[in-house]
Amino acid sequence: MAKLLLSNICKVYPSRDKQPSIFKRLFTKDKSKLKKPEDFVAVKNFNLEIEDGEFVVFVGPSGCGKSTTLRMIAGLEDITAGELYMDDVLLNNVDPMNRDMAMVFQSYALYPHLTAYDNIAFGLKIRKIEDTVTDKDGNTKTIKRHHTKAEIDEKVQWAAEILGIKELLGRKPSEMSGGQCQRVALGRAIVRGPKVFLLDEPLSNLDAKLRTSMRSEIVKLHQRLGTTFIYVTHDQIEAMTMGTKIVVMKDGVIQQVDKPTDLFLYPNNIFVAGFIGTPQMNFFDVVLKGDSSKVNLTLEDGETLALDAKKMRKINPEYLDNEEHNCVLGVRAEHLKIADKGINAVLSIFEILGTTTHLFMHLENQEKEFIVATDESRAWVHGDKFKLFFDEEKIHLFDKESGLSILEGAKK
Amino acid sequence: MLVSALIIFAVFLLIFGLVVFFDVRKAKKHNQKYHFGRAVTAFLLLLPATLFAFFFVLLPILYSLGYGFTDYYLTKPNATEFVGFDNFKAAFEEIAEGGDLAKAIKNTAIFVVVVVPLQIGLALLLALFCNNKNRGTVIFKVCFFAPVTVSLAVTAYLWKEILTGSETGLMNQFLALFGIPAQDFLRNDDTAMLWIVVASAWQGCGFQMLIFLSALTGIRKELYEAARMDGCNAFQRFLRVTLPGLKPTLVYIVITVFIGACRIMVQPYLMINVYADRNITISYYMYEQVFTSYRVGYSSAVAFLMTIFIGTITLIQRKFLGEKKR
Repeated sequence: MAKLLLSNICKVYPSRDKQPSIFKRLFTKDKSKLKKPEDFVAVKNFNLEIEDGEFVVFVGPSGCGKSTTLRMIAGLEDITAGELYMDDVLLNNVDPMNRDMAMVFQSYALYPHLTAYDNIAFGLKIRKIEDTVTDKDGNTKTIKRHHTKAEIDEKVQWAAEILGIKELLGRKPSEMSGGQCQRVALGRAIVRGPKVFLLDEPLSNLDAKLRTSMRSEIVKLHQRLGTTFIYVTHDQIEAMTMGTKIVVMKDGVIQQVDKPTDLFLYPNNIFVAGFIGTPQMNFFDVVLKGDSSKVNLTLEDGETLALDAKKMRKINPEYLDNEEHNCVLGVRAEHLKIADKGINAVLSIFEILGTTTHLFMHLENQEKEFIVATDESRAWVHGDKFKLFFDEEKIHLFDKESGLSILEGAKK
Repeated sequence: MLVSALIIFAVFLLIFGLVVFFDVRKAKKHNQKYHFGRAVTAFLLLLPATLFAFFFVLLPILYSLGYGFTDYYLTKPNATEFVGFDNFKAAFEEIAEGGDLAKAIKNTAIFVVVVVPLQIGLALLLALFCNNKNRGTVIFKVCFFAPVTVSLAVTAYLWKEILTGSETGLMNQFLALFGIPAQDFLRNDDTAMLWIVVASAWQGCGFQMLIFLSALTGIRKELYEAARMDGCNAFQRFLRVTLPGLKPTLVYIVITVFIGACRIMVQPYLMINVYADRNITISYYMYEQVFTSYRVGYSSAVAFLMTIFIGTITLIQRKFLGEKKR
């Protein structure tokens, strides 16, 4: 059982820039001109509770602090501020070797001089286990001992069986492909039976096809082991398909923590709405005016959409005061439909992907493009004009200034 | 001399010819066209380096070997005669009788056995110490590397001055602080070789440190992190990640330091300045045989025996330390 609690975790890297020299500091009259090196805040007030057996995915763009957070959980980075608990035990100053966690690295980090077998067995050979023995007088006592060869072999064979790498056990990392190396790295992690698995972008170095198959294998592994998994990725598809709980991060700050479906349907802010889902959500600057029954959204080209407020998700009452509010309308490509009535749009280019077609359109007199995903198959012609219908139930509205959603979130 | 050089050069051309001959046969066997022009170009490109190696490496070795079978006397070069294995026999007899050569071998052996692990260990320690990005590390790197840039003769003189037997010597002044009477370190049979070892290791380790440092940067950071997650403490990480990562470099360093140590001559010669039992090494012995006793033929025979010995040990080292082929 392993329940993790991250409370107000912060990570600050001191600046590598040099301080202004003492002469500069003494002889510069205008002190404001002296540029002080600023520390870099990688993770800011990270609060999260991870239940036992959960598959939590940290997702976000490069440099958002997801890997740093994972490394702090692993103990490979110091925690600048905040507390990390596992099963109510404070882990901040506990060495990685004593945290009972296993980590899979992006670059596999297999020991190049050891065979796959020895790589998997490495942790078992190093660590001691507790065992109870009975002495001549019949007293039982607990001793610490190394695994026996037979025990190690049994566990390595078990891991190899699960991951389908039995025939690779005699090979060295240089004699294996990326996918095979990653399996061995997974084997090295599972063989110890740790309380928590930490996976730092483990599939990033694999090709698209292998990534898809490995994705499902990791999910199966999680279901089989039932242990807590914390998985870091920048790929939102990986996050959506694997995680039971997703943590979306940006600039070191958690943007939203939710189930995959809720994250897709009820994004908290523009960033999450834009980050989750392929193709990306379309955004239009609008002016919102309305009351509890009717809402008018005026687009940049002057067209007005009259929406029935009752059909929509509940809007924050502050915005329903018949005053004009600058907002951002978000609509997913698949929720924009070509219809007989609606807003006027012009087709720029199209991409036929097989079952669906992505239509890149723009509003009349506007240059900003948006995407419509349609199952329709017809002879598309550049410059054709269409009318687009918005499904009121599936639109998203965000405050333009704060970027936060003004619609009610998922019912918990 | 010219005739023999021409003969040896002809042998070289013969080797080239044989290489071409076998290449043509191989190409025919695999039904490939043999590009003679390409082979000639390749040999021509190889020629400058080959000539250089031939005149400055191979020819002197072959001449030295040749002298080993003559009674070449430095002051009477024209009276040289072929004496067969007499020189080699004399060398073995001297060893058996416990003569100077036996002492030289003993001293060289002591030197090698102590200096190789000491110098390599020291270099590795310094490299581990300097292998971080902390400010100021570069100063240590420069300090540790500085002795390498100084001439052997200068450092030998420096150590001689430090260890001089008079009360003005730096070491004796230091000992005097603790009330210890002045010692003559370099004239004492027990300590002379020890101090030669210290001076050599101090001067040599900076270079090996640099090689170790470049090898250390080649070991990926994630391996250390993976080892930490796997439960390794700092010492276990050194044993199981650093050392295996350094192995190819270590083999190279062990072999080069060993060969260098076997040829030790400058420090015992300059630091002690007297040809005595406590400081004769094989190279020093050979030098004395040529320039004091003028026995070039005998000295060449000893040199040849030493080359065979070093070559054999190096092959053994490679076999035991080198990468095992799968």
